[in-house]
Amino acid sequence: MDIVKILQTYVQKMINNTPGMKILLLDDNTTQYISLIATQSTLLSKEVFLIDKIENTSREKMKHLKCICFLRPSSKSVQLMIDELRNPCYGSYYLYFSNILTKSQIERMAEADQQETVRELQEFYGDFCAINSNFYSLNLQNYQIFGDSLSTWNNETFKRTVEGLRAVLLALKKRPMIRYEKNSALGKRLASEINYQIQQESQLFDFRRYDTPPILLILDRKNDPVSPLLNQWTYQAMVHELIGINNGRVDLSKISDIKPDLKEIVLSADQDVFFKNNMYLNFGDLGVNIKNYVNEFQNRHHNSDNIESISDMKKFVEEYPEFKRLSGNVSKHVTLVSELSRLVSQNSLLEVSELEQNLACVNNNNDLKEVQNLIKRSNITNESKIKLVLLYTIRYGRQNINEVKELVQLLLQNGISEEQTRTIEQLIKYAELNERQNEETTTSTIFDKGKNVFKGLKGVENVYTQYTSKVADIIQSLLKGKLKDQFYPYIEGSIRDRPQDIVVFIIGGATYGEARDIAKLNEEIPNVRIIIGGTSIHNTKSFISFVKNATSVL
Amino acid sequence: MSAYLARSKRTFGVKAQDNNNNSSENENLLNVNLSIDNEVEYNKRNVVLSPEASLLTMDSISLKNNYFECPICNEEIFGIFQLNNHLDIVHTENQSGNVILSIFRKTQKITEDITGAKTNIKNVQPIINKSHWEKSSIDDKCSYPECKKQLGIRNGKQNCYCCGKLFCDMHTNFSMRLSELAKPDSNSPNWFKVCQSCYTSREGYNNAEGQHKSLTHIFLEARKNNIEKLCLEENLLILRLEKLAKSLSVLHEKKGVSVNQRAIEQSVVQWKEDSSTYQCYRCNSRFGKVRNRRHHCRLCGQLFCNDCLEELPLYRDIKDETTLIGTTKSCNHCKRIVFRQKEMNTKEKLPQEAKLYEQIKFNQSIVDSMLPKYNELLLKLSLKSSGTFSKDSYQEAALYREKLIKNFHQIDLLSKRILKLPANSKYHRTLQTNIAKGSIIFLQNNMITLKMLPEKDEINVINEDIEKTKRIKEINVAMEALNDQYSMLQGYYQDALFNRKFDNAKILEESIQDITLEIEKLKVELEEINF
Ligand SMILES: [Zn+2]
Ligand SMILES: [Zn+2]
Ligand SMILES: [Zn+2]
Ligand SMILES: [Zn+2]
Ligand SMILES: [Zn+2]
Repeated sequence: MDIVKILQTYVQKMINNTPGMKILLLDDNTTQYISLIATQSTLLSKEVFLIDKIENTSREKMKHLKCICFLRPSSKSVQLMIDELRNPCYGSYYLYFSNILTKSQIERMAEADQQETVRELQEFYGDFCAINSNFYSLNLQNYQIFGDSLSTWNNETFKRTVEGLRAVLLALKKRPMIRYEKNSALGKRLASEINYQIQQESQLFDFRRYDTPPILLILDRKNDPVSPLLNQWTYQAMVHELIGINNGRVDLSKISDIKPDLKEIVLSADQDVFFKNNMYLNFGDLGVNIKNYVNEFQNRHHNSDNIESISDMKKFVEEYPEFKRLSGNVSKHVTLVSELSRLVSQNSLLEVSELEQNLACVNNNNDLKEVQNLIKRSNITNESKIKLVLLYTIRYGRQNINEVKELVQLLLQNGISEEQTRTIEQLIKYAELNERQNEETTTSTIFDKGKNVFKGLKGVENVYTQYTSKVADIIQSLLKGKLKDQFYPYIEGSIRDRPQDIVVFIIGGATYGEARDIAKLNEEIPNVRIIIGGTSIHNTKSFISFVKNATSVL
Repeated sequence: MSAYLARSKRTFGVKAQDNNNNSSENENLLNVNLSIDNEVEYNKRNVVLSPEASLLTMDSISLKNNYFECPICNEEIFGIFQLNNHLDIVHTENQSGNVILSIFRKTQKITEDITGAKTNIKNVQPIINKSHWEKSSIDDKCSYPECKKQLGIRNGKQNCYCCGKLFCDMHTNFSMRLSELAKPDSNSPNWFKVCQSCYTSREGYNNAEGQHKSLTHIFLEARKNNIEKLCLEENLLILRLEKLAKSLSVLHEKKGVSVNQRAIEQSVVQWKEDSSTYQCYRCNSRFGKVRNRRHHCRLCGQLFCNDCLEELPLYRDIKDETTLIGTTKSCNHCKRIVFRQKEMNTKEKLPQEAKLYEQIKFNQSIVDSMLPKYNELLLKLSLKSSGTFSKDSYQEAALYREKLIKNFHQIDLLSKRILKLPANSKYHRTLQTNIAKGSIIFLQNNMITLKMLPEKDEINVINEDIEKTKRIKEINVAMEALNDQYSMLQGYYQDALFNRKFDNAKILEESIQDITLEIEKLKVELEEINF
C-alpha cells in the first residue's frame, strides 16, 4: 500500500509501453501529480524528451514524436484534447485519463480523431497527489468545501472529492467497508456517495477477496481543530508549518544571501535518502543527524584532496555525479535546518510550543496567566498569539467565555487587528464548540484527556511532542475493536474482524503531523497498513484561512 | 503488541546511548545483552497485569473469531482456542504464567456463564494440517530473516500455521484465513496465527499496480463508425472539389468568353438561400448588410461569416500536387475533411536530431546487450585465482571492454553533435538539449558499472597500432559531423540570402568558414597518420 509507488507504476506503464522519442502532455492537475513522483532524469531515460501542458496552444507540430497524454477528465481538459486531435501536432497519441470518462467524452474524442492518430485510451486512476508513501491529498485547497451552511457540501467540491477519493480506492485496489463520524453531515453524505459509486462501478471495484475487508474511515476536521494549530517538531511537518511545502517544493528565496540553486528546493522521500530517513524525526535528533551527514560528506571530500591538480579535481567532480548530488543535498538540508532553527529562536517557538502542548494535553491552573504573559511579549509572532488564544478557547471556552473575551481584548491591546481576532469567533462556529455539551461521555471529544497513544509504547518523548493527533487515537481504538458503532457508524453492514488495511480521509484537510503519527503507527504495528489523506494539507496559516473561508458561507 | 523492545528514551535534542551498540562483536555478549533486555521486557509484562488489562475485552467476547489480548504478554490473538493454545505453548513453563492462567480460566468461566456456551474449547479447534510443522527443541531460533532470537519463555515460541516454521512472538503476531491444507484462503472461516513472511508474501499484498481500464477498444470502435460516415462525406466533397476544379479550368481555357462562375459553383452544390439564416453556421455571429457579410462554402453550400471561411486550393486530382489550378473558399470543416487523407499521408521530413538519435539508440542497444556479458566475464575472471585464468577469456573481456568504450564514445560524440545542430525554434532547441541530457544520463548510469579489467602484464593490449586506428576512427566520425553541419549551414545561408536577412547571412558565412578550417585541419592529420 505504497501510494507513491502506485503512481510511479502508472507513469512507468505509460512511458514504457511506448518506445521512441516522446512528448508528455499534462494539464494543470496532472502536472502537480507527476511533479511529486517523477524526476526529469527518470523521464529522460525513458525517452520523454519534451514535457508540456495541453493548455499551451503555441506548441509546434512535431510529427516524428509520439505523444503521451495524462489528463484529468475535466470538461476543460477533454475539450483541449478534442481540439488537439482535430489538428494533431504529433504522429501518434496515447491517452491516459486519471479518472472515469463518460461515454460522451469518449465519443466526442473518437469523433475528433479524424486523422486516426490515437493508438491507446486508458483510465489510470492516479487522480491525487501522493505526498508520502502513506499520505495523499486531493489538492483542493482552493475549493470552498461548504454549500450554504456548515452541514452541506458545495456541489462542485463534493463531486470533485468523490471522484478523487474514488480514484484513491481504485489505485489502492480497495473495496472498503465505510465508516464515518456520526456528528458529521458532510462525512455521512460522502460515505454514502462513495458507497453508491462502488456499487455503480462494481466491475471496476471487483478485486481479489480479502481475509477481512479494508476500512475507509471518513473523518471531519471540525472534530479535531487542535492538530493543525500546534507547532510541529518533526522535520517534514516543521518545514510545512514554518516555511511551507508546496507540491513537494520549498521556497527559500526569502532567506538573505541564498545561493541561486537553493532558492527553491525539492523535498522528496523518494529521491532523497537523507530526507527519507529523517522526515519523521524530531528536531533534536535531526540536528545530530545533519551534523553526521556533513561530517560524512567532508570525509569523502577530504579523500579527494589527494588528487593532485585542480584539473584532476574538476575531473573527479565531473566523473562522480553521485558526489555532486551529495554535495547539493548536504547544502540543501543544512540551509533548511538552519533556517528552521533561526525561526524557532527568533519567534521563541519553544516557549510557545510548550504552552500549546499543555493547553492541548492537560488542564492546568496557570494556563490563563501564561497565555496572557506570552501575548504581552514582543518576540512572539501575532500568529502564535492568536493560536494560543484559539487553543485556550477550545479547551476552556465553553466554561469561561469571559476569559476568552478578556484574551481577545488583550490581543487588541497588543497590536493585533480586529480582523485577525475574528478568527476566534470563526473557529467556535466551525468546530461547533458551543454545541459540544455532553461530549465528555462520548468518544468524539476533541481532547482525549491528554492521553498519548505512544506513551505506552515508547515512553514520553518530550514535552513538545506530548500531543498525538486524534486520528491516531481513533485508529488505535479501531484496531482494538473499541471504536463504537454509535459514534462511528458503518454506512452499510458491519464487520467484527480486526481490520488489516485502513484508508483514512479527512474532510477539511489533513496535516503532516497526522501523516507522521500514522507512519509511526505503521511502523509499530506491522500487521496493519494505514494510509491517510484529505481534501488538502494544512499548516496553521492555511487552516486559519480555511476556517475563515468556511464561515464566510454563513 | 509484544513490541516492547527496550528502546532508548529520548530527551529533547539528544539521543540516549543505545546499550546494544557494540553487540555484533561477540555472540555470547550478545546473548547476555539480549537477556538483560528481555528481563526488562519481562518485568514490564508483569507490570501490565493490572486487573483492567487482564479482564480482556469483556464486551467483545464470544466463541467465534474474536480478537483477544493475551493477559500475560498482551499479544493480539484471534479466537479463544488460539489464545488457549498460545498460553499452552508460550506461558506454561512459567510460574507466574500459571497464576495468570488461572485468572484466564476464571474469565473463561464467566464468559461461559454469560454466553451460556459450555463447549470445550479444544473441540472448537478447526481442522488444519500440521504435518509440516517444525519440531520444537531446546535450542530453537526464530526463523524470520535476521531475527534469530532464542525461542522460549521470553521471546515466545510459535509455529506459523502456514509455513510451519518456528518463530518468536513478534514475528507471529499476524493472522490469516487458512484452508484445511494450511494454505492462504480468504474463503476459509478460520483465522490462524502466521509469521510475518507468510503474511506479507500473500498474493497481491504488495501489489503496486493500481486498477486500470482500457477503453482503446471502445474508442476505436466509435472512431471506426465515425470514419465510415466521414468517408461518405469525404467522397462527396472530393467529387465536388474535382468537379469545381474541372469546370473552372475550362473557364480559364475559354478566356474572354463570359461564363457565369457562380452558376458553375452552384451547379456543384446547392447554395443555401441568403434569407434562410441570419447567423454564421459555425460561430453563430450575426450577419449584417455591410459588416460581417455572409459567404457560401463552395463545398457544402452553408452560410458562413468571413472569419470562418478559408482559402481552398483546387486540384483537378486531389492526389496530385501538380494539378493545382486555383483557389476557392470553403468552411474549415469541409477543408479538413477534403484534405484529411492527404494530411494523414504527408510525411514530415525527419529532423537532423531525430536521425542522430536513431544512431544513439543503436549504440545504446549494443551497450545494453554487451554490458551484462562483460560483467559476467569479469566475475568469472575474478573468481579464478589470479594467474590461472585463461588467456582466452581475458582477451574476450578486453575485447568487450574496448567495444563498450567505443560505443560510449560514439554516444558521447553523437550527443555533442546534436547539441551543435542549429535549431529553428525554441522547441527544437529543448528537444536537442534533452536528447543530449538523456544520453549523458545513459552514459553515467552505465559507465560507472564498467569496471576495470584486472591487471595483467603479459598481455599488452595497448599498442601503437590500436592507438592509430582509434584516432583514425575518431577523425572520421568528427569529419562526418562537420560535413553534416557544413551542408546544413549552407542551406541556412542560402535561405538567409534568399530572404535578404544579411545579418544572419554574415554570421552563417563566418561559421561556414570556421567549419571549413576545422575540416581542413582534420584532413591534414588524417594524411599524416596514414602516411
Ligand atoms: Zn502471551
Ligand atoms: Zn510462515
Ligand atoms: Zn523473530
Ligand atoms: Zn463565423
Ligand atoms: Zn463547408
